[in-house]
Amino acid sequence: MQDDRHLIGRLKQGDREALRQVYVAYKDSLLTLAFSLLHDRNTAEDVLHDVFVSFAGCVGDLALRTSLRQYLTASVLNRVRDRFRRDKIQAARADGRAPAEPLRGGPEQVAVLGEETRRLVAALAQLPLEQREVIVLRLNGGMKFRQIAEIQNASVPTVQGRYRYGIDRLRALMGVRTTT
Amino acid sequence: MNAPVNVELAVMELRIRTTAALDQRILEDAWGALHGAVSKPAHRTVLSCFLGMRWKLVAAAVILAATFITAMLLSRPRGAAERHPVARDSRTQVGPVAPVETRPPATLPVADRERIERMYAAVTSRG
Repeated sequence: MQDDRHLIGRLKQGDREALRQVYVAYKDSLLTLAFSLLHDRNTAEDVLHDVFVSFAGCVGDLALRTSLRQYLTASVLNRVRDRFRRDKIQAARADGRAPAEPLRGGPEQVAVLGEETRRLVAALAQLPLEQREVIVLRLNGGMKFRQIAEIQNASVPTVQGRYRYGIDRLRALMGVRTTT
Repeated sequence: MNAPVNVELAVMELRIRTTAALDQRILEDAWGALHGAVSKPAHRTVLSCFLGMRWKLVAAAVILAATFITAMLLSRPRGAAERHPVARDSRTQVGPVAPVETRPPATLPVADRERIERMYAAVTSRG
């Protein structure tokens, strides 16, 4: 938190090195988060771009109430939700119903990933967005349920429930037998 | 047939890395945005600065409420004595009539009574 405030202070003075430090520290985790939720590399890169450019643009008025990581994570989630909402509206306008499948990557993107990762990302894409968010933030982002609850604007038991159902579904989709 | 995987571990180890071209594109655009944000003069009004600080707003509301309550208490009349209106004319009766002070029964003092009784006795014995 203290380091974050120091970095923000430097950013407010126009320090380019501070911006580079923030970007290097969070770029991969934020891209992974966006990709896990969107299942499309190009769109995930666009989200990452939007998040950092708007972050740099509003840093003068930024009053950080949480950690910088949590702030940037919430920014990614908001943009991902916006994309889903926009796509849903467009699909509903196009053929009168919402899309059943989330965004899909092209074959060239899928080829870059390993077999297991591909299966995992494909399985994640079949979960409801809230469950996907909790699983990725908890396991990949290392966030606590309390922090995820704040981001999702939900109670901690709700978030824990989403995690449990999501993991069970993910296991079923990937053909893993539960050990319990 | 796919081999079973530890789902939690697989999600934990999921890593998507950015490319150098993407890094360059994002950093250049972000630096441009940062430059624009920093060189922009601060146009924050006094009111917006004040509204930005929530705890100060709460403190101000509390002080305002306390001042209002104090003013209300001070403006209240202190007692019934201060509330009596002043009559402009002696004939007009304004306000409630004060109870008439009751005098003690007119009893003669013992010495006077004895003196009167003696005088009465003298008159009756004489006449």
